[in-house]
Amino acid sequence: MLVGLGAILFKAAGPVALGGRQLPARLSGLVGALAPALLAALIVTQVFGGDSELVLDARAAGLGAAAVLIAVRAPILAVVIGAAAVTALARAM
Amino acid sequence: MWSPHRESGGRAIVQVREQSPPAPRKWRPRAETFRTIAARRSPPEVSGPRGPSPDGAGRCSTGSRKRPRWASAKWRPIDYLHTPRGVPQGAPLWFGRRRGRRAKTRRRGATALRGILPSVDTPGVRSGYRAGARDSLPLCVAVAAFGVSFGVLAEASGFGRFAPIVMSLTTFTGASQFAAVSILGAGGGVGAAVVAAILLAARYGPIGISVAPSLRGNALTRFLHAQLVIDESWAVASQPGGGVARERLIGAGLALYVAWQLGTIAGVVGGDLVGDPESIGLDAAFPALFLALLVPQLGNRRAFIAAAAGAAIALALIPFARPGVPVIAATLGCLAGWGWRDSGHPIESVP
Repeated sequence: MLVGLGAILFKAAGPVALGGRQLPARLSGLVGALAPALLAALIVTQVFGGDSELVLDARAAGLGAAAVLIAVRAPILAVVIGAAAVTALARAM
Repeated sequence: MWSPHRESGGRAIVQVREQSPPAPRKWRPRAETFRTIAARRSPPEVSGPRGPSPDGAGRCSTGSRKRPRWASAKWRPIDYLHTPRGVPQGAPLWFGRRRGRRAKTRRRGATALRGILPSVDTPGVRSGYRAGARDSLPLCVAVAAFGVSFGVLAEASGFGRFAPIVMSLTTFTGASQFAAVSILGAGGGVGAAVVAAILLAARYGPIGISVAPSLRGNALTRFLHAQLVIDESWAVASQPGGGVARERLIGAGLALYVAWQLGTIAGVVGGDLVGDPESIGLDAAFPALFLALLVPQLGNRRAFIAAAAGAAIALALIPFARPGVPVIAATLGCLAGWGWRDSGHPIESVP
């Protein structure tokens, strides 16, 4: 339950504290750059993250497939399904 | 007691009575109460009826099929003759009752709800919610599958059936829940579990900051909406220019929340029937989606540098830091993009 409380607080902190106000231009540029940085970090940790080590496994293959599919401008649904399928194939092999 | 337009109400009513002798009825419509009370309260004075009365005596005609049933002579409410301005004809009797204690309560409740519930008046807004829910649909499948595996893991770790469901309901954060349950299940202390889970949840600090300018409403509303923010809903709703589309965020968040709860319940109740979601590669679905959402955001150089710096920081920290720390540290990558614009050179921001 402590975990839940912590998560709720963290989620709420930002919006409640500065919700509604417009950030100054400079800071909003910073926040705009926050999204790519966070997304990239999430990708990296979810693909290469192991138990305190970097691992290269089937998930990397899935990510590669996703990159290819994005490069050929496939819809997002196809990207997600394709990545999952390639990962499953790589695991099965 | 409230009565619709007390002063003029009685006059018109008397006229109605004179023109149409009351037929024997099995029951009395609710309007009859008002008629009686209004007639009793104001002295009978004959004067012209106010309000919409197209042909003078038309209100006594038997109902035509084109009108709704309540507009026929038998059903017509008493205030049909002198409907106040702004009240549509034939509106329910409580329409426009703006005074009184219960009306106040009702108004308060409606206002509060209106703030919390998304307004679905304009088609654009509604399509925003729909679009968010629709785009998160493949993720809902994956999230539900991981909810199942969370339920299985939690039950196998000896948490019973009730606790995991409550935890999912209150803590809508898959990674933190997994971490806490697996540490506790492996015999770790409560302190370690809570620290690990909160470290994993701490990424919602920066995510919340990026969401904050897009949320509206009072503090309670923002608080509730913020609870719908998870990695997936935020990613689906985030826009290339920074910030998120509020409607998409709410739509996606609600859909994912339902999927997560259903998955957890299914896992706790009948978990053995379901296989491991990783065997069909669902764990690669999330990074694939994040990549698909990241690529359109890399339009300018600052975003590109921020993404590269974030990935580099996370990669560098994974072997050393506890889970959750790399992502939080990677938010410093946005400083890199910021520095680029200001000074012309990227500022090294690796901690």
